[in-house]
Amino acid sequence: MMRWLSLALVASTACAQTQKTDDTATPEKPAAASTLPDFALETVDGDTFRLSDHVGRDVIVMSFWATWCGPCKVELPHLDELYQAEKSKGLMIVAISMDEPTTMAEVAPTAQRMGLTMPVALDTDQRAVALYNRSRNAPMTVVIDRQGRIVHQAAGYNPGDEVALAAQVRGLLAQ
Amino acid sequence: MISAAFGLALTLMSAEVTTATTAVAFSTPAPIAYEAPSLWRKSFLLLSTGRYQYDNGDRTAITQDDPNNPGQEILNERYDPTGEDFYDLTTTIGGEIGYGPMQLALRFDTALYFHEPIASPNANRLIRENLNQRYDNVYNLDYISASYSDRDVDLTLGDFYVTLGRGIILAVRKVGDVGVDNKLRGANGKVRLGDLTLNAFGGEMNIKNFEQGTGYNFDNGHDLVVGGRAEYGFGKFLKVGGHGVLMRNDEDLIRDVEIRGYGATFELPRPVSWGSLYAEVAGIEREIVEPNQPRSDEDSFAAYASANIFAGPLTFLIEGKHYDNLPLIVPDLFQQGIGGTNVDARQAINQYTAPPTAERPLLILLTNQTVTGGRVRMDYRISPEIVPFIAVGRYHDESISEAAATDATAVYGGGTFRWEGGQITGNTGYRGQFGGLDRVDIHLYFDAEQHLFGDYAAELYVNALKARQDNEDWVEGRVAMSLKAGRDWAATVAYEFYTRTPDLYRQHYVSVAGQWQFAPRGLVRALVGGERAGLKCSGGVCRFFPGFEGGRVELDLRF
Repeated sequence: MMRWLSLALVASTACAQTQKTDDTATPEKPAAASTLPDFALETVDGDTFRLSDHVGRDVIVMSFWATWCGPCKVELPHLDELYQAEKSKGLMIVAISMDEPTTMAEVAPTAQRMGLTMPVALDTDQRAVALYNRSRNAPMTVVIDRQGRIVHQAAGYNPGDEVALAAQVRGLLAQ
Repeated sequence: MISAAFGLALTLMSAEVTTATTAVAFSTPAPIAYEAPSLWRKSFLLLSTGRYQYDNGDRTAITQDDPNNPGQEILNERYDPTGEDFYDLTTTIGGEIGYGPMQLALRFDTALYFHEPIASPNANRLIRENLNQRYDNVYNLDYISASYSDRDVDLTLGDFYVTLGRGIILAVRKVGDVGVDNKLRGANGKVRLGDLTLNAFGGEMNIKNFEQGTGYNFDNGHDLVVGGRAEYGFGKFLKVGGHGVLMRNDEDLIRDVEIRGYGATFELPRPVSWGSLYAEVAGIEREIVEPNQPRSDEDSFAAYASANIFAGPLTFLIEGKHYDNLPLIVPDLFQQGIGGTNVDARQAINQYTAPPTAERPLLILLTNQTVTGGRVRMDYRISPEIVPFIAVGRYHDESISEAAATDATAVYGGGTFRWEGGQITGNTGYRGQFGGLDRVDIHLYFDAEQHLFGDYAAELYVNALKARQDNEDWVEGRVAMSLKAGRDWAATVAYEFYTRTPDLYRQHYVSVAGQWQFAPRGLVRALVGGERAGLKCSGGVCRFFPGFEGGRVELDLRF
């Protein structure tokens, strides 16, 4: 069993080095990839979003949301505007859907009609939730700086929060 | 790999889930301020809720000589013979510590009851039995897990959530809005080998063991659950997968129960820019063995598919389902009679499965076992600020029996409209069901928010339903008005109503609630007044909540 696992790990490492399934992935494996628990989630576009592809390299904003969450759908277009404006400077924003099987089919069309360009990931197994949003708040925003440190978490959304978030993100990008 | 570079982080657990149905009163938990990072991640959470129940709005205790109950009415799940003049205090204490890709998490739950209701000496047997299983103090290690996650491997020992496919054969998850927090306690491992992902797990069901509103306690049920899934992706064009699960319980001295589920998924996530497709087929076999009885077997089949079509400003969602005798599977499998007939109604919320309904998400849907149907939803993006939609659904349901088959039609529409400083999201519609069970629903839901000045904003929330079932008419819902000042404080006045009789004496409730963030990581909430009884649904799970009248104070502290 251990031998099999070792072989699997070696094989998977080799595959990980030669195959990139995430269009947004950076070309090099980040130096600080192990500073945080990793997760890999499928996006609505069929890509894979892997946190470690960005930790230690980009400023990362994780936005936990769901199609049944009204405030989330107000906040997401603001986050996408920020993503479009700053992604060339090293900002990665991922919208992580916490939808249940009952509403999961609505995630892709909801993202489409909001015109989201940032990755929209499906946390089917509540894996990312268990690591970064254990109480399952929606919306929930987690900001990670370029050193792989979680520097901000906030649950809920009020109009105007996006202004403060943008200022914080731009400050981190400038560091 | 583990020792590459250890980062600095602060991971804090936060307040209860906020959903569209509860967003008004407490929709803005405290922000968690930046804190100087340390080499370790660590956090602490204290959530405590104290309540005084003046009158929960249900009937008062019925005794044999109760003039209100000359016919000795039979208890049902809506009936609550208690609920006056008692206190409860529930507390959750949690902590997490993390080091690089490793994380350890613990959470303790306690529920204490004071001046709790007891049965009158003259109470009938049903009332005595009902009360004997309630209001026991609870001290419970609700969550414990040690996990390791890197690029290629996820390992968890302890509690974990797991869903296979779209949850037709297994969905062990948290639905905080209705107080469901199902976990498997055991081991879960996932390995990613390039485009191949392998997942295997095993454990026993670990549910949230108490229900604050009623004081009921539930056992975890020592079912063994073992399963796995393999998925292979051909780039972003095609993903195929297969999964299976085995559930066993042979603790019961009389009955052994084994349930086997299997399924396959086929997904075209985005083969073309204008669409996507997901399809799943699944089967469930139940086997019940009792001494000196012929073995009972029952098989179920399910097929589900959803497709999206994106055509410029138009977005189509098409969902279809065909479920044949899907069982309701709950902890303590030996309760599982053929057809689930022995399932305790209150336990039924802790389901192992959550098949998609292909209906309006907030719909109160009580049958989803033997049904064929689907819906089409079309959204038209006139502009980013104006997105109306319309949806039509049609279903043929034989969940109760073939003879009592019903046909349902649902039509609803609404949308999202935004303007400078405000927005409104809502929908309204009709659902008619005729045949074995006649029921007509007309619903109205909207949530409007407007920025006033400075940090001040106002919110109006309406969720109302007018229903008619078997010649009985009623309305139920909630109207709430909130005033918020940024994240510092919020005040809400709410009116709730539920006119279905004769289940309840009280039909109208008014409450005043407030929320104050007294420190960057400290929040207090309070409510005085009443909240209606009734079904509340979230994520495909419906739970009947008793009415409440009294006072409630919640404290939310994080470190």
